[in-house]
Amino acid sequence: MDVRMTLLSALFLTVTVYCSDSYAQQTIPEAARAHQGGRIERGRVTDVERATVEDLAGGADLVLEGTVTKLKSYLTSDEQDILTDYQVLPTRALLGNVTAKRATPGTSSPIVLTVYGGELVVGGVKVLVLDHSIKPPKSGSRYLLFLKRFGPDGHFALYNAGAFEIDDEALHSVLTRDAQLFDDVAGTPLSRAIQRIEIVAARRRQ
Amino acid sequence: MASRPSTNAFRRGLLVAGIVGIAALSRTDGAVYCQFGGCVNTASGVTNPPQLNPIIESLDGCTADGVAASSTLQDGAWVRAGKYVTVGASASTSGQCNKFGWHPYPTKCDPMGTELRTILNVDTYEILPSGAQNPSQFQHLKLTNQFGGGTVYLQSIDSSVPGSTNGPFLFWLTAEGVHDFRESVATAPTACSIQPTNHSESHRPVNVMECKPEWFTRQDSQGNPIPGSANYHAPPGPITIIIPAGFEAAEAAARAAAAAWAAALNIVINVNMGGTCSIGSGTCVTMSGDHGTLPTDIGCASFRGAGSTSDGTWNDTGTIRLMSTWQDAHPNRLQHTIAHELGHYFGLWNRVDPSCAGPSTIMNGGAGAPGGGCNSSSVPDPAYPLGPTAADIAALKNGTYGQHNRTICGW
Repeated sequence: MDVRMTLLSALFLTVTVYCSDSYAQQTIPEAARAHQGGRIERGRVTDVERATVEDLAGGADLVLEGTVTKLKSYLTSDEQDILTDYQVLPTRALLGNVTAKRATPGTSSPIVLTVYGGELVVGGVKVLVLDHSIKPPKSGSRYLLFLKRFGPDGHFALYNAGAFEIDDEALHSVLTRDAQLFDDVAGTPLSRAIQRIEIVAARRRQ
Repeated sequence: MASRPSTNAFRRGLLVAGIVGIAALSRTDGAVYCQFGGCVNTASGVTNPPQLNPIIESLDGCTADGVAASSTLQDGAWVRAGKYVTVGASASTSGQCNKFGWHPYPTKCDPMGTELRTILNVDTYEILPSGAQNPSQFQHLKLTNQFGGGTVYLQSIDSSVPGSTNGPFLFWLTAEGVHDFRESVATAPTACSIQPTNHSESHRPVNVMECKPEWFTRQDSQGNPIPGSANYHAPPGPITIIIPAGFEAAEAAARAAAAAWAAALNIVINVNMGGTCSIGSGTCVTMSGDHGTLPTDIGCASFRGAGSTSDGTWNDTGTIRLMSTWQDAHPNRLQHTIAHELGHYFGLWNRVDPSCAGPSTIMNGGAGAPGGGCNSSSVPDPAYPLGPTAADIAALKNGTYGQHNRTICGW
């Protein structure tokens, strides 16, 4: 009996410790309950790596030029973060297959770009989760996107923060800072960047 | 008999002088104040102390946290080593001394002219990072002769504008560290003995560094910097780092990284095996192995924190997020990664400017800086730091806590 109780206690402690560790940081709903009447701001900083057009194209599953439209923001499954989905309407595919697996014949799944961060009201409290390294896309704006598959079919994330707002022929990085890491891309006119991406795409097809 | 009228006149004079003197006592600034047998000069329009405003400008343009700014450096500005700054001064005095002379018949105090309260000198000298004084001292005031009539003293100067003064003066900032520019102004003596005759010595520190400092500044929801806002930073401490279950193999690396930061910032950092951070505690940092599971989890680690919206102090647990493959890493690479992420916790941003050579900062090139990948088992380049460098310590100690206006020039 004593042995059973000891084992049971040990198991209980183990489970308790495990559960506690998985909630080392307050979840967003917990934080919202603790900040009634306030506002919550949290976020993540990542280490973006210096890259050329070829580096970004070489690591991406899909490169396209398109317009983004915000769909929704939502909590992650562990409720520690907020993600935001954007629908991407491609105007030009440069590398990879734009058409995702079709749910029904004759239709194509939309391309969804999922980014870290977003704003939600949780329990009456405004919660802002920021990707301190990357600016969120602007709905309605045109981007050159370097995408990596992420999550369900048709869903993508940015590859190494590879998103550049298109302003005529100029490309502007979405990095909040450290834009010099993408000097090679930002210093390249759109038409020339497209040529360079198409060379990478051609090599990949061979 | 002949002397009687004059005695009477003398007595009347004393009486009048006494009445005038008493009346003068009740008057305000600038009044004639006569005493028996003499007059007292009086000052008027005096504003104390004399004004002094050091004007330090960069010749290389400035940005303050990414926001365009003028080239005038704020207190505690940062300038790249090997650059020049100009040091000028605007100084002013005000007021004058109204002089009076005793006039016996009729008995009165006659105005004898005025004497402006003028600047005698404005001096600048520099204390170098070594603590030694730059042997060169500079005097801003250039006294002029007008129409051959002698030296003309001024009531105000602005030596940041070349022309009528000796300044501004050029300083070449070679040594890394704090260059303290000290300035003083003294007024010329007046017949009224106007006090004080000088402004307390002004100290204007300029931080000189080779590697561009970058702080973890706050942004709005669109990722744009919030000018003038406090940057994110750790509370004063003591800090606790929790090594959760499953991360025991990271203990040595975490302890070494924590010890390096504790020594650098002269704070207490406790490293605890197991347990949890108290909810809502910004003094606690834990670890997770989920980097790579969220969109755009770039590189091999990230830092997640929650900051106060008012002053940028973390107000909830910070998390060093490692990749699931972290156990493959050489111990020095893991220490480098943890020290780098702690750098974010303490208030530093990545320092990727070309002015930052790899070994000059723990914040260069992301968490995988030593080359070959952060989770590689190979021995990293020993030149790369495993903890904060002098450049990191200076950027935090001289720039983060309690000093939120920063100007960066010359990069």
